[in-house]
Amino acid sequence: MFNLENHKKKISKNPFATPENYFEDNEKKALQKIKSLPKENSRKIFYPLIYISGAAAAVFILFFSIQNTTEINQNLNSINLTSSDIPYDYFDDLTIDEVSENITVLDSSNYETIDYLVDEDISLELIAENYSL
Amino acid sequence: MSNPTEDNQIKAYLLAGEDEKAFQFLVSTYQKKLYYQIRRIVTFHDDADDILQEVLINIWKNIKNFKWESALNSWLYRIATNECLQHIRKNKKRLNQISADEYQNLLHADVFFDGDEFELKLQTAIAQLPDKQRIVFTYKYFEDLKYEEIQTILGGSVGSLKASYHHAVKKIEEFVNSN
Repeated sequence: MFNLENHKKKISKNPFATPENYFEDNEKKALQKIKSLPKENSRKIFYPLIYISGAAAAVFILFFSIQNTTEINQNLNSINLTSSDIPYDYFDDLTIDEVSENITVLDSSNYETIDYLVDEDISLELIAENYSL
Repeated sequence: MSNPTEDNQIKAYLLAGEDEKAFQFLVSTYQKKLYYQIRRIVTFHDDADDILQEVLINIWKNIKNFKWESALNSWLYRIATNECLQHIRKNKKRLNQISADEYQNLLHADVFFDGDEFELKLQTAIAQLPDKQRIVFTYKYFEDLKYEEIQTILGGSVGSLKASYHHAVKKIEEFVNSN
């Protein structure tokens, strides 16, 4: 009967062969590979640069969007929304909440604005609740 | 398998910022041991070669994060074992379709297999084992690692590792005796 523990003592030769100079070639191959990878140090320098540029861009965008929204709000406040000159271009730049906040004088005669709100998936019931229809 | 002097040299290179030298020294010190351990698990040279490449890249990417609180060889074996398991899982379908006889024939025809008839049977029997038993068996039987060392590589309890080894030995003996 075969017994592994007894056999263990007899193992003297490695049954696994490799191509000639495999380990020497492999060492060179591995070194070449790691040299072609992006360096950890350069990444360390690169990442903060990305974060800084990203943060600067975010501040820039935020500044201009606030300024832009303020201008739009001022324009909306000065417009009589019952008139036919409704600034839809401005509406496109605003969220539906911002539009809602600015339309306070909407009435049932202002079909275009009602259509716009309906198109934006605001239900007629909600429009009727919030505005003097 | 641990080489304290070489490990200290690798650590010294890393501390000096000579990462490539550290890597080169690590590869020349450990690649043979890693290769043969991988080969014991996956048997064929081409598979072992692919896995070893991945292992070396992983070592390079993570060596800076190695804390030197545990033995370097355990960490290296852990990376090699994980790569082997990934490889086995990826190729499970293909490997499951090969019978023990076919496996033995493939190995017999392999130009990179120098074993005698008994080695052929032994390696085929090892290949039939479930993943965990196969890995525990190779570490214990060929590398002579202690269960505690295998535990740092594979996790789990010492009791379950002992059970895995015991089951593996029984299955291999049964396979060899019946073939």
